[in-house]
Amino acid sequence: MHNILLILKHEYITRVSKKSFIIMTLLGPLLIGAFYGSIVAISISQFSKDSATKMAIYDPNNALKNEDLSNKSYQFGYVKNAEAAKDSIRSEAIYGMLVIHNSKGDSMELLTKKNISISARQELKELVADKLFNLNLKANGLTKNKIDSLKMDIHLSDHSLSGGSNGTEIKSGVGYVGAMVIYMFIFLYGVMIMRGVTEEKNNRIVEIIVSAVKPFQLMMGKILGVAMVGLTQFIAWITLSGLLLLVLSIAFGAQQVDTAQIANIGKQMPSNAAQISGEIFQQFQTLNLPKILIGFVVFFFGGFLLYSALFAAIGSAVDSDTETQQFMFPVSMPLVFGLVIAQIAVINDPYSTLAYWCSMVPFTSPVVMMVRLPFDISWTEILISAVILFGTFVLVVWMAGKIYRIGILSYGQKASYKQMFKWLMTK
Amino acid sequence: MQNTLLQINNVSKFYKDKVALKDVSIAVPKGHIYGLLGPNGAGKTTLIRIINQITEADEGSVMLNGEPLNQTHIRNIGYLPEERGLYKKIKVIRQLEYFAQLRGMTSKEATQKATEWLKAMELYDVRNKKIEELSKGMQQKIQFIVSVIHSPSLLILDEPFSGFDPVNAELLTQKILELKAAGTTILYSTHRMESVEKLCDSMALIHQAEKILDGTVAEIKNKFKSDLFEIVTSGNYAPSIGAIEIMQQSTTDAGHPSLLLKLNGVSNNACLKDVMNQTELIHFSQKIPSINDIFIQLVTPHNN
Repeated sequence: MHNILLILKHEYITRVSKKSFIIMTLLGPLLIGAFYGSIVAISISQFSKDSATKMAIYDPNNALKNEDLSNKSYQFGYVKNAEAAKDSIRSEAIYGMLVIHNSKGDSMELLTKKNISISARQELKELVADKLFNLNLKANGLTKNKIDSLKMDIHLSDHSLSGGSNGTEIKSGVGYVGAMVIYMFIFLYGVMIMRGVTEEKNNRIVEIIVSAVKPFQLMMGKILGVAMVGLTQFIAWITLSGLLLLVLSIAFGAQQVDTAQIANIGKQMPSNAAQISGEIFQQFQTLNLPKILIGFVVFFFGGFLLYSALFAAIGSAVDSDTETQQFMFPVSMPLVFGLVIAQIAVINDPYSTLAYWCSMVPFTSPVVMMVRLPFDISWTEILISAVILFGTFVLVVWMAGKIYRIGILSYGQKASYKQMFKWLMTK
Repeated sequence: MQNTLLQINNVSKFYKDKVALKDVSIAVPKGHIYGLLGPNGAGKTTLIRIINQITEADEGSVMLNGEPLNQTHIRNIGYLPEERGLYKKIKVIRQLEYFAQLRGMTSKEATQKATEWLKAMELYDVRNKKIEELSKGMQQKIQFIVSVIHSPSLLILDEPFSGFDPVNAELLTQKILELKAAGTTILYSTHRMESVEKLCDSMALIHQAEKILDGTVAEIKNKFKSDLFEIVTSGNYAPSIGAIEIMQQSTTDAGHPSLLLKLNGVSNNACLKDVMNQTELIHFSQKIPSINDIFIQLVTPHNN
């Protein structure tokens, strides 16, 4: 135990004091912030396009009754001369022209200079269909206002029997972010362990170390040390992100322009901003935070330790980083699979059979169970999954230790599964 | 037993398709520099790894100081592997402290000893540099410090001189002799025979997984001395005793004839008389084989 602690300390201090670690720890939140910031910026710029696209409508049969179709994105004008309009399209004075072929309006042609995107095509089609629908209603003696008053705007608030509102969106969001974090850290730091093992092997340091400590102690010390590094970085990122968010909200909250812009976007949305933030707050209250936090830590560590042991075994079997690729793929497959399952199945139905089993299988459970955690998953289920995960970890560590023990002292052989199996079976 | 620090009894080690060590027994006397000789692949490294508890013997036992080898002995053993290895990106002093602590020293002791040794090896000025910034020779010296920093009673040196320039090799020799004088037992594995004669008190020769020879250096040389004699005379000499053979003929720098004689059972005095009857004797010496000669004689295939 003393030796494991010594190695843990050594690994931790060495890695935490590296320049690259400090830089990544400081830049991480900024990069993540920049990433999401740019997404928000792009979506804002989409909503607030400066000028509407100019379109002509040639409607010789008067299907649209000269009604104005213009909205935020498109500005329409009726033309009598189709040929003149085509010239305007060529000279790019206008973007395109809708030609309505009959009085019913169900046969149209869209002329543009360049090919048009699917979404623009769809939007134009819907604009005309909408207008035609309203005209038809009018023709049948109904007004738009009357129709609108007949339409019901339903506010659906969902509750499960175990109490509280469901808050499905925020639960999926929190679960998914947690799973992403686990996935990312397993890869980042698992590979770090693998590199470390290969480095020690290549530098032949390992012979000196294993003459002083048992290979298993070296492996465990390394895995735990790097796990602590990962946790440190994670906590640092959370803290820094929190601070950054605080600074940003103070800085931007004071700017009138931005508030106006956000309110503007709000108008475009079905419900206003205040309502949304209210809902988010309500949903947030539905989260069982202690359960999620405990679960996160358990599955973060469990998953990390399990995969680290595998990565350490790979690192010990190969002579160089380039050789690791062929082993990396099968080892990382289950984890990638877990994330895909999390995206497509679990978020749709966290209680499905597939979701259940994937959160029990130890190689996918760190990711899948994390996504399910915010939902009504019983403690028993979580406990069983955790026990399986840690049980498998012990087994894998034992196996990895056997491969590692021989692998680190074997040079010049091309690593293969057969070879690793042989090492595993060696007394 | 009292005089034996390391006792290896009938140790064998088998790998799947080959025998690495076969029934090897060695006794390393306390305070000796013990040469472990053998050609490449003879099994020296396997034996050293067994003593270091990196691998276990399949058969036989290893006793250190009269006790079966166990984990507590790690503190008493120092090891300089043939393949050198240090963390490239870690500072010299931190590296030494880490390895010393792995060998059971407290952090304070480790720092103190590391400082002492860095000064002794003329490396104190580079203590805060990373290994990769140092010259090869400096790295080798640091590697040596790693093996001795915890004052082991048994120091295992596997080819310690490889990669050293003559000046540093001399410094290393001195340090090894100082350690010996302080009571350290040294197991010195090499295939450089000339250094064995210079340093070792006793030795063992391992060849094809088996120990084929051991004893003190003097004993071994005595055992292998042949009845070859070298004589230098002022005039020509032709043996009148039939048994005496001339193996080699040459002329010294001074122009005197020099002969290598094989006596084949004829006594030294009889031979001398025969020489003196014919001419004046300038030099007469028995040819003592060097360890190198013995080594080559024993491991060259046609002699087996």
